[in-house]
Amino acid sequence: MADPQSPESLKHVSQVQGLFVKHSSQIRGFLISLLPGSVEVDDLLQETFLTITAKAENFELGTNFTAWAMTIARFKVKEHFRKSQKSELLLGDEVMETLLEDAPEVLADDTQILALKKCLKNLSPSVQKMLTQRYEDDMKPEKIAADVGWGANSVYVALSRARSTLRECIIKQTKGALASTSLS
Amino acid sequence: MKLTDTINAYLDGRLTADEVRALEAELLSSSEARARYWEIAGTHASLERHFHENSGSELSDTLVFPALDRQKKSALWTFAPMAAAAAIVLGFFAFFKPAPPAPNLVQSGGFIARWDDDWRFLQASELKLAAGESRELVFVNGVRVALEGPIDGNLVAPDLMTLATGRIGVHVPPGAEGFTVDTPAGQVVDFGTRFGIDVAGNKLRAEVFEGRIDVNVAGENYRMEGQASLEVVDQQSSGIAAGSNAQAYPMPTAEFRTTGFGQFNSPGYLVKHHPTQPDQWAGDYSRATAAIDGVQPRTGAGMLQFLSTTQEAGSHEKIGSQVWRVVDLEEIRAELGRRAERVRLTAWCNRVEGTADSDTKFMFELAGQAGSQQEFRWSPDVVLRSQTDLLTDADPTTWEKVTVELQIPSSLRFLVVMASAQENVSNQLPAEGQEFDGHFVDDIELEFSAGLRASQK
Repeated sequence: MADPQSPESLKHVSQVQGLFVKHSSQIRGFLISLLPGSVEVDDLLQETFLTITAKAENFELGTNFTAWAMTIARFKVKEHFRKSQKSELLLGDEVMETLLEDAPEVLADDTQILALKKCLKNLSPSVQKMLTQRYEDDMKPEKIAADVGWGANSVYVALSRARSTLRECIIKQTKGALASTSLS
Repeated sequence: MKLTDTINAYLDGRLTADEVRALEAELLSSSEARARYWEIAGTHASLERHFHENSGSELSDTLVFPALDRQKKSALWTFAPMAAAAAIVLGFFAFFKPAPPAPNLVQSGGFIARWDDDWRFLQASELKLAAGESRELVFVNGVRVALEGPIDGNLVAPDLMTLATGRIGVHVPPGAEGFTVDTPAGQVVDFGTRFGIDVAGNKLRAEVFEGRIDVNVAGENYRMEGQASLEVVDQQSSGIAAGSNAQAYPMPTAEFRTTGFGQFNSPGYLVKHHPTQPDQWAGDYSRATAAIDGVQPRTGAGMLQFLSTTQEAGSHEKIGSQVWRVVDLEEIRAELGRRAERVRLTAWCNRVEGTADSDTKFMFELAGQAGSQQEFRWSPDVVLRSQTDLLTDADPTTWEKVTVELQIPSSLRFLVVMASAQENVSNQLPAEGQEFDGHFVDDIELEFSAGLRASQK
């Protein structure tokens, strides 16, 4: 085994940490999809970062970092749900374990982001603005409602519809991308 | 409520406890419900990722960093001593050991930064260095701060530090504008640049080497662009002076990685002679090709295939098929903001399975040639070189990685990069005029770097 204090090992760890930083938004998106609205998302992200640092030597540069990092993040979520007392507004540990068994290897990968960018252009400017307020500015739907002069429920419905439209469009786009790849 | 609506409502945090229990029951009993959950969660996660990355640089600080608004920043120096007294009880040697967040300054969480070559999760902390010590702080949004002791200050947030005493050099890349240094004599706000600050008591000297900074002194704003300097004593300044001296400040590390240096995505034969100018692949008989003979490009649409050891097909006198590309280090200096001190090449090699007579060796070289200070001229006289070789396996589905590094002398203007396949097993000419059975290179990239540098004052 390589000396963990050797310049090569230290550089490797630093490179792996750099990959974590680069992909942190993707890993955080995964955590948010399981713990929506929870302040513990950043704690779990931090714990994932620390575990990735400790296990960096197991990761081979050039292989799939996000898949490896998501595996660690999944483990951290499981651990967290087993050990901590959760809000009753979050899913319980039994269902979380079952959900994680069915979790895709990677969520929100580059192909999906590319498709999402194209699909967003099909939405009306007002819905695009609402999504920006919700996801970029982290505004609660109630605040968005006050801003656009709608009822909160209407904003929920609009966001929900926008996500359904985007989901269908992303599926169509990514299937199209796969088809054109296989033809070339 | 339909399952899709329930999952959306859960992800929006607006289900009651009873509704969450009902969702749990459905998810536990139905694999289709779980598949639907991940489908919808995937859209949420994609939106989270897209909008957060969209809100700043790719390495967005808005995800893990507590954001500070400008009003809080402007009042920072007033709060800082109080915050330090309340929050910081750490000893001198406990660099960045997390301290409780300062009231009104950091609301929650922490932020990632690199200190002493380790990425760490940090919170608001005291920042001190003794005379003669130097360190570097790197934030994930790319901001790099070189600190030269004696330093007395506070790290408050990824875009904010206070400095009561000390000399620092800062590089703020595009996308990370707004990095602020609060000093007793004034506040320095960066707008994407390189600059230096020297603070001692009631004296502040700020110098911008590239880009723009604003210095706010007692309510008056001094906008400094290009190369300029400003001196403030007792909250009084005689104004902005032209010119600046970067050597007088510590300089943070710098890194620049090429993108697409050796991708070979456009099919065609390489120019068949030594390169005559930078940024052109040229050399022995070789070509950029799409997937061929069971070998897929490692990334992208193409890869480089070595064909013959000379510039025309048919010869078998030599044993190496070589291609070169020249890099003008002045262009790299522009990217780094200073001279590159080190370069590291990475490349990936592959070959067909072939037979027992198939060659297995690849060779890479980073070199400097004699002459060529203004315009590049090919010279056979190599004045420095770093070389490495690699023996590839016979599995065409795997790519083998190779790296080679070179310390760059300050006198070198042009770097010559060489990649080659070597006839290490058999030097025979096959009937088709091709000396290599199927030997490929892909994803050649260079990483230039320069280390932390002390001030020359």
